[in-house]
Amino acid sequence: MAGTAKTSMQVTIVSAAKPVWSGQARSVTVPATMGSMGIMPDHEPVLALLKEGDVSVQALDGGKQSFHVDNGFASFDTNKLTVAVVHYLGDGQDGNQG
Amino acid sequence: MASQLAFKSRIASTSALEKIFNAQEMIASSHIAKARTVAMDAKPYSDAIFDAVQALVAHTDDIRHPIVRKNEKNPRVAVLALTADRGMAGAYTSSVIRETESLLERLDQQGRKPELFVYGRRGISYYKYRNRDIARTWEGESDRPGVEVAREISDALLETYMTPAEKGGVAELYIVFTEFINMVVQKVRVLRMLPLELVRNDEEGPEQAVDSPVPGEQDTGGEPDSHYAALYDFEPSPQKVLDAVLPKYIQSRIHECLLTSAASETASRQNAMHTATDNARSLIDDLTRKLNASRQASITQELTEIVGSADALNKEEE
Repeated sequence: MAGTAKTSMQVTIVSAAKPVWSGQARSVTVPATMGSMGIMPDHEPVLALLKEGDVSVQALDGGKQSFHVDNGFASFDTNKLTVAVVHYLGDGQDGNQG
Repeated sequence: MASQLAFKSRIASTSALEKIFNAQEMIASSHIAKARTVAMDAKPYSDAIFDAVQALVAHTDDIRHPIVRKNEKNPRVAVLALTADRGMAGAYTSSVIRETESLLERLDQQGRKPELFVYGRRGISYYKYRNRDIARTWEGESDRPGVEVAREISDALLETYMTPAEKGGVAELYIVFTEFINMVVQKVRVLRMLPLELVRNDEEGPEQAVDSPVPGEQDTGGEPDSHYAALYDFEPSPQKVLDAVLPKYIQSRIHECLLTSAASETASRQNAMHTATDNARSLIDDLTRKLNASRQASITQELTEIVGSADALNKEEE
């Protein structure tokens, strides 16, 4: 992992009922309980609880997507971000362009 | 020998039944595809939770959470039996009930006080009819259990589990469910869901997949993932993450049990209906043979009568 900085990371967003989205992303913002948290590639391993809010994903091609979620957690490890939520409540307010 | 009319009506009703069984069989096989999709859709989430629990176990020195450790002196235990909502599924519900009964008996012999929780209408009516005490029941969607029903069940059971012993809480939770092995084989299993046994083990490879609940009566927490770095941040704090993730883990495990039971239910319904269709067909064959025999007998009798009376007439003319 050390050495060259990575420019993308694997992102998977899953809800309890079904997978929501997965792909490569440049950066992701998640609604952590302590406040919004931005995650870039090569972030240190983290496991953060989420409150209700939007997970916004900056995709590799520049498109931005956002997902409104509630009650879950995000875990980042070995350049893989997994957002697991109990509820996926549709698209976020930013609108989807991806 | 019964009359031809009776045979005909029996053949007609059996072939109507045969059509019903055949339709049921086809419905069941289409439900299996659905059950598989639901199980596949739920898998990424349970994998994510499982990874998170593994990360927590690997990075927390001493997990002190009631879900993991519990007062052993409390004799009360909860038993959850997963049965079907509808019949026509062969021995599905009765095998679960048989296993539940023997588990209850075992627990009784150990001096425990089991409390019964039942999911599925068939199981509920079985215990209601026998006037047994049931702590709580759920029904509906036993062949395609969604996240909602899994949450209801796990919330209720966790609440019972977290209640102090003196207020009627339980010390352990057992689940009796049917594991889907393949279309032909489904096995009734007993799983001790709570307290959770989290095993930190960095060497062993994956012995069992997360979606197939652990065989035997003890849950070992599954296989570890080895590559967790020493640095790991828990937001807002390890304890809070633990508090939030462990109940979700239980819920997702319960959902897995529901899903594998649902697949088993559908498979055993399909098998039962297949056998019923075959039986109806052989019954129809048998009845048709008897009908033909009885028709033949009546024709023979008529012929004998005609020949006999013609003979008599001929003799008179002579």
